[in-house]
Amino acid sequence: MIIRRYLDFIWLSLFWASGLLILLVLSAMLAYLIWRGGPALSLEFLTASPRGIPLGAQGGVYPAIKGTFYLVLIAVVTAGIPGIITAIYLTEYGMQSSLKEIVNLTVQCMAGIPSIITGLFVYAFLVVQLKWGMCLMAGGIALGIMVLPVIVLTTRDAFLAVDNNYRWLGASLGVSRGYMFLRVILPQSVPAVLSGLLLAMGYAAGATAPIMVTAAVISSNSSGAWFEPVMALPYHLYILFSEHTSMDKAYGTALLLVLLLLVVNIIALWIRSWQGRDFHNDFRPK
Amino acid sequence: MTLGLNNFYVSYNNKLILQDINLAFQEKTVSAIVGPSGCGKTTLLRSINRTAELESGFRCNGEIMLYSVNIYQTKDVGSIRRRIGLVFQQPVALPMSITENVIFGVRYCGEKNKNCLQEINEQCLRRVALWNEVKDKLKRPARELSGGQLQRLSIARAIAVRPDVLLLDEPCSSLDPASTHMIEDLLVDLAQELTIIIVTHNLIQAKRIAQETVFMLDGQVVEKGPTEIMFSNPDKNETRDYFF
Ligand SMILES: Nc1ncnc2c1ncn2[C@@H]1O[C@H](COP(=O)(O)OP(=O)(O)OP(=O)(O)O)[C@@H](O)[C@H]1O
Ligand SMILES: [Mg+2]
Repeated sequence: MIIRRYLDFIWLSLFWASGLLILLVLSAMLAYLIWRGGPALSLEFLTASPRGIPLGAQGGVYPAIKGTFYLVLIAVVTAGIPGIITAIYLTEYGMQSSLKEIVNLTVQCMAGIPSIITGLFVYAFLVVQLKWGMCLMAGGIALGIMVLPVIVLTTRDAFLAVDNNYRWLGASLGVSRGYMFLRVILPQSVPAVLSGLLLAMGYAAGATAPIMVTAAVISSNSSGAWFEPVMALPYHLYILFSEHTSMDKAYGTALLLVLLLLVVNIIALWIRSWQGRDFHNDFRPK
Repeated sequence: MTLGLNNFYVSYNNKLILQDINLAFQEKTVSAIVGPSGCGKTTLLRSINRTAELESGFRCNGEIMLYSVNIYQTKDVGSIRRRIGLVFQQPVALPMSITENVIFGVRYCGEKNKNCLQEINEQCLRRVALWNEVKDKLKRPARELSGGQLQRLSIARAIAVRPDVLLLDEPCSSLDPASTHMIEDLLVDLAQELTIIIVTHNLIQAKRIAQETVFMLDGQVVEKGPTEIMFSNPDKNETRDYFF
């Protein structure tokens, strides 16, 4: 009995220690970034283009913000549509088929591909073979390929989380799976799907490898034209660091990126917490 | 005869669950199916409703006739499922209003006329004796109803698509005596218009409402007969052992 309690105490301390460690690492990183990068953050930093010699030593990162925004948008659209359709297939239609297992396996494998390889593939195929050149579209698609498995898995789990009894009830009434999905399953899972898409967007916004060889350049106005190269926050950061352009600006960019991702993730969590509310169109509170 | 099963077999993953079922259910009667847990009652009902086949590894053999239609040879599975409604043991409240729950199947079938839907809604809720309790909160989410009310709502939803046969799988197993009585009464009432088959663990319930009783054991039908005879003087020893 004594030993039991002793063990419990050790476990509990371990839990606390690991929790504390995670919190410590996170807050240390954030504090360091704020300390080093905080002074660089200013209105000009957010709204001006990079200037100076070497480029980026002065001015701001506005085109990089814009470029990252466009890249993420293209990624979430190109991956979101096939990703959600795949998830619908996996949860609503693939009940007894072996194709389902194959699709599941494929998605798992895709999730394991290093993102630099995705980048190289898109480079070889779209940038070189199809002669697109380094451009927004190629980078967006590379990011899309990277986040596709994330989207499939989060939306699949969102649909799976909906009470299976609804599906059995629909079947017993002779209601088609498609109708059931649109009227019951989807409205119930909207928050989880949205939050999954947001998390995927955050993941894409921070990724450097896939865009390094497909879309991102040192200087561009990031007009949003599909076949023009763009600037992007993580790549800009990488250049500022590796070329020792300006450590202040580098830490400023890093802080900005982290704050952005933090906001996206918090919004995703918040949307997730809507789950369980009635989202059905015929429900109106008194 | 409304519904008939001839040499009907079911297996899941090559494990035989139902063997050589031969049953005939008369029109506008209440029949009860009783038997120990795991003997295949739920599987039987779900096979008649044609939803058991959605389970992986399901296979069946033999025929189930609804009037003159062999239901396992019909292409339009949806219409068979609506003609043979199934009410689950645990009532399901779809995440929508009470009214939308009742008319869910009707809406699916394409009925759009508002007055018509309203009328079906009221009619079905009255037939399950729920109308007076919910008429002021038809737009409230169905999950706010009590267990007994929800089970009656499930019955209303099933009869809204005008089935010929209504199957119920232990509909009262989690209800209090008052709700149970209410459902028994309404089933007797409904039997004036449709054929009812109810699975129950409650032998008294079978005695109260069923004209015919089927006794199942290990995936087989041991005996079927008029309820009084089954309860007073059954043929088979197994039945006797279970009933007394
Ligand atoms: N989807 C399935 N896959 C494989 N076996 C199943 C499946 N569903 C039921 N079974 C098996 O079929 C047998 C009959 O189950 P069933 O649910 O029909 O029994 P029951 O008579 O309804 O029991 P209860 O009175 O406890 O509800 C059980 O042995 C069960 O393990
Ligand atoms: Mg059962």
